[in-house]
Amino acid sequence: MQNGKAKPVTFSLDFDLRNYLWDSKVCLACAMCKYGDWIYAVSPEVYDFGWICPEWEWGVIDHYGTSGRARLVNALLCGDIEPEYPTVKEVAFRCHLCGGCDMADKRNLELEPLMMHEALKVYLVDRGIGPMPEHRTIAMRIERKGNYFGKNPKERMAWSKEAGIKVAEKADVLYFVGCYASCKYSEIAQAVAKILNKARVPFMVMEEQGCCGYMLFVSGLLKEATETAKRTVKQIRDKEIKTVLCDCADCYRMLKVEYPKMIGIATKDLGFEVLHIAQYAANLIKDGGIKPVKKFENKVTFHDPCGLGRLSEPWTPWEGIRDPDDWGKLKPPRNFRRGTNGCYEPPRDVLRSIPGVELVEMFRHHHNAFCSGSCGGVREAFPEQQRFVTDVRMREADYVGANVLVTANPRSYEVFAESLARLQNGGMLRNIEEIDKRFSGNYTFKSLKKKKLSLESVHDLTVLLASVI
Amino acid sequence: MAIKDELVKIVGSECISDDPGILESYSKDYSLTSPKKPVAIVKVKNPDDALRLVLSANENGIPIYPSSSKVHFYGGTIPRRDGAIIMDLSEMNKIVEIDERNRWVHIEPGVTWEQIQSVLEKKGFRSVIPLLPHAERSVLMDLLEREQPTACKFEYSEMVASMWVIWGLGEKFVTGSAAVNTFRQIGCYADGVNVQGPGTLDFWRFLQGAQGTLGIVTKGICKIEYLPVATKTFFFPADKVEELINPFYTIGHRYVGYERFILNNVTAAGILGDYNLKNSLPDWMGIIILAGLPVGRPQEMVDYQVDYIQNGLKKRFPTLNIAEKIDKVHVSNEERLAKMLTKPWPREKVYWKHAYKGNCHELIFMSPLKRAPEFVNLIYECAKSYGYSTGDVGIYIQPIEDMRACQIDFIFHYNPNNPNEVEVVRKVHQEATLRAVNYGAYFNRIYDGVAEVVFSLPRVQGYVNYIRRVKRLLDPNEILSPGKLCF
Amino acid sequence: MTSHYISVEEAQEKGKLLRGKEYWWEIPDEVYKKIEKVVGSQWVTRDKVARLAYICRGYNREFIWFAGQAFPPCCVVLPATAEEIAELVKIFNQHHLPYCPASSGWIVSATPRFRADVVLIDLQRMWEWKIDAEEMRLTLGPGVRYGHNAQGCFEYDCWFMNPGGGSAACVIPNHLNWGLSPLNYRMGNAERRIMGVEWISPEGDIVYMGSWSQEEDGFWGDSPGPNLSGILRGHVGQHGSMGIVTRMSVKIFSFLEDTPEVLVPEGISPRTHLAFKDLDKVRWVNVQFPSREAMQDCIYKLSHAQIGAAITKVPVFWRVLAASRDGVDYKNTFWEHWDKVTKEEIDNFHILRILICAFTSKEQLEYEVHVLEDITKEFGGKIRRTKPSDESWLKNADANGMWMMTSGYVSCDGAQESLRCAFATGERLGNLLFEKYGPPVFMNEYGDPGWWQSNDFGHSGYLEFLVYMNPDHYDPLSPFYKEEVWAKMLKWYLEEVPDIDAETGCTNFFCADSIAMLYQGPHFSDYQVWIDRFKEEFDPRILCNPPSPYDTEQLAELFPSWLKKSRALMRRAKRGKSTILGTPGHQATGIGMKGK
Repeated sequence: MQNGKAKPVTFSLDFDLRNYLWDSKVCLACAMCKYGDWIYAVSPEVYDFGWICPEWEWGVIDHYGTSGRARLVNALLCGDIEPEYPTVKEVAFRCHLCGGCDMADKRNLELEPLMMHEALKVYLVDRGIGPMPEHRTIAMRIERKGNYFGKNPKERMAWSKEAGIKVAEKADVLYFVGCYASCKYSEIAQAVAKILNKARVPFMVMEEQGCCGYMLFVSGLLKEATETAKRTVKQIRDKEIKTVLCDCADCYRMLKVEYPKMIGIATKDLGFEVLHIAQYAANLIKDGGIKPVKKFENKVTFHDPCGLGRLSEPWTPWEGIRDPDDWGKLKPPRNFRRGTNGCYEPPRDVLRSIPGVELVEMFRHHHNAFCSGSCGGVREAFPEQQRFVTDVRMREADYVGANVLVTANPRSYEVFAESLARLQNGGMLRNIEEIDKRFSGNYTFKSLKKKKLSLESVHDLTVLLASVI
Repeated sequence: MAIKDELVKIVGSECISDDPGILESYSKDYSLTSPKKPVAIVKVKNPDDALRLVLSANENGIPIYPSSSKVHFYGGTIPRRDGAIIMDLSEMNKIVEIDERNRWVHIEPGVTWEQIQSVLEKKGFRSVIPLLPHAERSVLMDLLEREQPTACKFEYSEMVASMWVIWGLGEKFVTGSAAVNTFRQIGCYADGVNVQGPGTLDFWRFLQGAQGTLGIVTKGICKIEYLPVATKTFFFPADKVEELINPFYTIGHRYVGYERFILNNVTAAGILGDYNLKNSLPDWMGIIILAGLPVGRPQEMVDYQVDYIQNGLKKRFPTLNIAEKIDKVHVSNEERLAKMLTKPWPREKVYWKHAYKGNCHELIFMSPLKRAPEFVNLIYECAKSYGYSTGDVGIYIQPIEDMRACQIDFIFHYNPNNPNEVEVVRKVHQEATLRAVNYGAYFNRIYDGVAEVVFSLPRVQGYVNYIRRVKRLLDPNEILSPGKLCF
Repeated sequence: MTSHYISVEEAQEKGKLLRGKEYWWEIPDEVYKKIEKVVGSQWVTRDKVARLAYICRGYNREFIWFAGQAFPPCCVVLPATAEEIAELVKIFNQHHLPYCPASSGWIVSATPRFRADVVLIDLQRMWEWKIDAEEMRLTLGPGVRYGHNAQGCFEYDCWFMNPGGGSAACVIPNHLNWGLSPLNYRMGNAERRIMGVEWISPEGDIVYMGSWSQEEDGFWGDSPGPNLSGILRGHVGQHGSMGIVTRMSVKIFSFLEDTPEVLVPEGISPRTHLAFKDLDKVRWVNVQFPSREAMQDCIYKLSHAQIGAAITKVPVFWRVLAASRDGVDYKNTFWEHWDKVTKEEIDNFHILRILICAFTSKEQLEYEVHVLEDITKEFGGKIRRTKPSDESWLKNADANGMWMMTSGYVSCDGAQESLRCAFATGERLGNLLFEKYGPPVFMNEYGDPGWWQSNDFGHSGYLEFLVYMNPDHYDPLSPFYKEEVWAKMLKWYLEEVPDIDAETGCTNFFCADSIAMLYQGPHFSDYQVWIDRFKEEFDPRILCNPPSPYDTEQLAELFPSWLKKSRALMRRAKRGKSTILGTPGHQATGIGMKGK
């Protein structure tokens, strides 16, 4: 064995998997990536609501999760397993990239599991092993039609033809209309417009706007996602936009965090501010720009979308060394993203401002929220996993006594709406049986004893707000 | 006699006795166990004699029944095999060391409750003592045989830590952290206060409740506590034991009281020293003694507990009868009670368990406290069915660890000179054991009449098979107390 | 551990040299099919990616993994019941296949080491949690973790300890191996908290211990006659090498009235805590002392007064670490503070932390505060302001944070002896570390004597001594690997620590795990001989999680040949003086054993 005289390599926080060899070996398999923040741990009586990693709760066996994947990355980088080994791809692409493990690990350790997972997908795609076929299909749609659904780009602005909607030719505020709002849930786009019009905030849209590239990014199609990022940033800069408003937590995360990450700049250097409509609306309410007046008398719980919450902290590039002769300190120090400054309160402020709303929290909330299942391309490639995860989250909302679930992300809204219908038609029992099979012993969690659903509806925050002002 | 010559070689003739009178006295005790004479009594003076005796017994296949107390109640030392010798350790009775700072005492097996309490009291300490034990019982043996202390607040760790042992196969051994070779040598700071020695086995557990079947303890380190300097006694008189259960759970869960137990009128009269009181006493009585430790603010410590009992507890159980005196009982008894409970029963008086009719036979098992009333009814029914008066059954319910569980002691008093009474008590005990086991009573103290029932339970067979493998390792030739348990 | 590129070729070449044997071992189809029959095909896998996930997790993994002795299991099986496990164990015995039980997998002994033919039994699916708040006990399956358990107990106004091992540790294995926490001051030691036990013997029999041996009610821990549970654990556990516990009933304890309203989770990561909503019911108190001696005497006296729910002195760097949590770069913030520390500061910094709870009433809490004030004043202690919250021990224990400072950490000594023994051993270790084993071998602790606490209301004390290493220096795969650092580390673990333990009489509870029993055994009545005898009797084929509990000779052979120094150091243990050989009893052993 050598007594190395080598010099530490300069590396950066990017998509090169080799940069996470250290993380893959430091990972202790302490299970925080499985359960999240222990301060918020739930009672064993509701154990099925005690997980932070959706994939792990679905799969139970340890390779379906961060510590297992850390060992896999280590084995790939040290040649102990071939990337072509069939399960490597499956395990990599079952990750929701929801950032739960990233937040949890960084409470006590400075690992970068989320970056490692993103880099792993890129690593496999670079070798022609990924992404999953379903991701390729969507990537093709985005390339050809500029949107997730493969709809005619001309129809993207159909929502704005609704009577009374005023869209400015030119304004400081750009409403970045997501694929879902423009192609599937036009009521969301119309709700955003209604709120801004009511507050007399002039806003514009970009006719030429395409998909934010979220699906490309989470599928490991880095080249395509980066091109989208560069193109979109240029479009926005060319229009001298000051503020970009997103109706979708995934678009918001892409523009605010992943674009700068892929381009290699800091969020603050984008040249424009990126806000989610929930943040903007909360300010409007505070300043009296809009006022919720209609009653909405319901017990409401809010689901923090991953992209709006723990993943939305600004991006700052980092390059440097890990000094082997100084206890592995990072030089220069790295500004770690721990989910601390995510957007958690604005959507709750909006809900609190609506007359009649009684806000209740689920067991997992704020930084410690459980993914809706819609993230990371899992919905497209592994629908059975997504359905399981979404149903668990819905049962959680139901268990805490809410009759209304509100979220601020169209993709989450979509999976929750499907889940509600499914659970109402006997899916609740199926989900309970699934959990029972996973965790046996002659004990059944209290949460599995509630067999009847009392949750009544799912709402998108923007649409709900527009309906009460 | 060949064996005697062999023994003389080991311990010298002055320590050996085969006088028929003496052998006779060792052949029986206060229990109903059938008498059996040993062939010799060997009074060992030190661990090396004991070791040599065990080695010789291994060579010659002689059964050894160790005995440390001067008085026995459960037949634990009466031989079950022919040609047995009794190893009498009662003269190994040195109080080797009192470790005041860490609150432990190092004693030999012959040290009795009377001996230890009188020494500790002078230093302001007490050992953790069962309910008024016999003055001549061995402290170490009572603690190892799971006599429960009246101070049931102790949630923490065992009452005996390190022990010096001779295994049945003839090896000296030290359990617990005193196992370090340099124990009590200069530079060594170990005080032997950890029950476990290094590594992955807990020999302490093998020795407790073993009745000398695996090893012979020649010294042990026992926990001691400060003698309270302020006390206050409360009595909860009740017509039915059921009335006391929930209040007891509450005071346990709120950590109130130092000594806490429940007695029926017969046992209450017994500990108050006058069985004639039994008819004038309430049928049941909960007794709580609040203690103020000398370190801290003794009176303040008592006061917050008094406040809880008179307000918190009373508010929660308005019908609970809380008394500071017992009607018709001489005041001095109540005042003395707190002090009495820190000592054994006075040697000059007939032992309280025997004062009623001359002798008694006990049925002792464990149960959750809430089940105690069911067991009381069960055993009463059983006694009635054999014509034994329930008015003569003494009952002592000792909650353990803040009401986590309790030990129930049914005391069947009888006149040893009346063969009929003896026979009835024998039958009641036999039947009561069976019924109690079937009803879920848990026997962790396995004495004569209980072993046969417990070790024949189907569920316990796996356990028996494996504990026999432990026996094979520690006493492969089965020379220690053969026939007492499941080996 | 390198944070620096290494080519696949280089890693493979070094890996081969370290491992000295094939990395993958395939389980025979015949056995695999039998396992499938028992648990169903969904719950057994030999997929390589799944097997990789179980390599060398948790504490002390570095030494095994970095030495190239961590191997993937030959298959992973997730049983659901004791009956399934009993059947599996019988199959493994029939085919002489070693097996390793794991719940949280939060210790290196819960993963295959030194060989690749091990079946990993993952117990995560075995879920049971029943509480009886009245009799203060829980019935648990091996999958239940402390963090969840704590919250569950709170909801019934009960509490339970969280160990140094962290909230992620599973209750059963941790109770079988350590189960240590500052709350043991009041709750006693884990071995006493174990009551009913459902145990699968190394040969596959289902055996019940405690009151379960007679009935279904696991309310008490004694067994009829001698207590067989003595084979499950001693001062330290068997690390899965003496059968598998599939169910356990443990003691819990009555806590505050309305606990869930008093202890409320608050904050956003990384600054989250359990907020104390009623300071008349619970509070932490910090007391600063003018000297170490004053603090030591005060620990004794507070324990004699039997007040408080925990009395603990933690290493100073933990306090610095906690204070650094707010920094966006946590580790660098810690080092900014720690690099400025001097030995003088550590020598003069003496803080004791005391937890006060209103178990009985507000009046009882006030009484304890008064006594605390009286006693600390007597020793010149000054009560310092503390946050009205708990970040460690009641529900959360950040064990993984131990790796934050240097990314390499080991608890090298831990003992339950008298307080004075804990004090003396900690001070010796602290001084020796400062004098001879500073950087680059270990992080400079400036002579801090480690973690002390009072147990059993002062009837015993607790010591844990932790050291922090730089993985880049002892990972052979790192370009910055330094063999002399590895050798000095081993010298510390295998010579210095056992020598100090033997001198002060400190029984190290890591000696069945990170340090082999043979180092301590000869100094402690040859316990290692007994451990071997019991292992031979109960697991004659040595299939139950080999090589735990470690046998030094075996370790020496197993360690890669290039680690010559460590092999020599390991063999040194043989030179310990045997006490048995010194007694006449030893000859009798022969006689005795013949009678078998």
